[in-house]
Amino acid sequence: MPNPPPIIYKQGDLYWCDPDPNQTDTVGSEQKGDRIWLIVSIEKLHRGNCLVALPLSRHVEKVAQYAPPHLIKVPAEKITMEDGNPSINRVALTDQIRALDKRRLKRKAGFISHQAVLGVLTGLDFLFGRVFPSSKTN
Amino acid sequence: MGTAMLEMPTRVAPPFEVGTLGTLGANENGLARRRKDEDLIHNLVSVLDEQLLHVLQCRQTSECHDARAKVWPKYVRARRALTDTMSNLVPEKTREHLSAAAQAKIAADLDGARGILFGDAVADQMMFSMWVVSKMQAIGEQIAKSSPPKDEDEDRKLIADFHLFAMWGQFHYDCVIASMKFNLALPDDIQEAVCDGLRAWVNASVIVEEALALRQPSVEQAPEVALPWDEEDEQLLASSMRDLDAESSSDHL
Repeated sequence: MPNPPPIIYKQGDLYWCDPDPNQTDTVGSEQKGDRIWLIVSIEKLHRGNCLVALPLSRHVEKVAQYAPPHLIKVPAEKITMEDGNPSINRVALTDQIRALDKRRLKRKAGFISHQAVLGVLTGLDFLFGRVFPSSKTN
Repeated sequence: MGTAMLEMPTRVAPPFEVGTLGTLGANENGLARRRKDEDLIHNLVSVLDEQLLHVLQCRQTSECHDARAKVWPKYVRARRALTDTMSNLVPEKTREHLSAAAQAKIAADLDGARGILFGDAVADQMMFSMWVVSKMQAIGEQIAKSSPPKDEDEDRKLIADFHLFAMWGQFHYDCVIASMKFNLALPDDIQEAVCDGLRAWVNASVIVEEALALRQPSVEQAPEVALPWDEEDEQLLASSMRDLDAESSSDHL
């Protein structure tokens, strides 16, 4: 039987991170601590099994009360869930960005729109202190 | 033509000079314009202030939303008129220097008003908005140097969306400036609405990036090459995953 085609992990895709295989008592649900991860790195630049992602929290009250502006709101209409369930408003926790192992991302949760991806990347730019001096005022 | 992002002097910068509302009162001498020109600009600023004060005097969210809906059309007309008038009467170099000076002054004023007229959320969101605008301007300069867009219809749609989001962001930006100008504290409910409105700058910035993408090739179009991966990389990745596993059952993001 031929091998299944390799999974392509694209920027903007959402994945559930599977539980640690050494911990057999976890089922894997958001309620149990698993999270939806948004891939922010570009597929073509992935090395080995490494990609870069950040969690999309369902706790939007983080933004409603007070949150640093680099935590970016992702409205439900910008999120498409693979299982057909309705999306909910989420917030991209840009300061929780990290390297993830592809082998632990087996269940695709969905994807967010390209515009939403760019919004999250704007939050990351701010977090990383990028500056954009204007050449006109120099 | 029809392909330039916004068809305005500063290209993809917002269709107005950010911060001019706060600057005009403080830098009258710097304008060095004839009296009637100054009067015209000041009258337009007064019209804008009048609209903003309707919103700033609200005490509850629903009241604020109603007032905002009511003043919005007049605000948009006044804002556009002010932008056009400034473009016609004030040399581009002067406007650019005024804008830079205004941003520095606003940043200083925000520090002074933080915790007095409004809370950290508004002050930080304003700083973020100023940063987003500077990013948009930088991308706008790249757009100005780029070739025409691959898809002109898509480009026109982006321009329309950009105007909407940028104007919405500018309205709430001006609300905060007016709060400082008139020393009016923003009630908590209004602060939340203002923060939410300021987030429109992110949408505007995203649209500007999309406009740039219509003109420049992306990294994803680069040829594929095999990237190296070694034992150290493997260990670091495993370490990252161990950190994740350690915290996954203890909290809920």
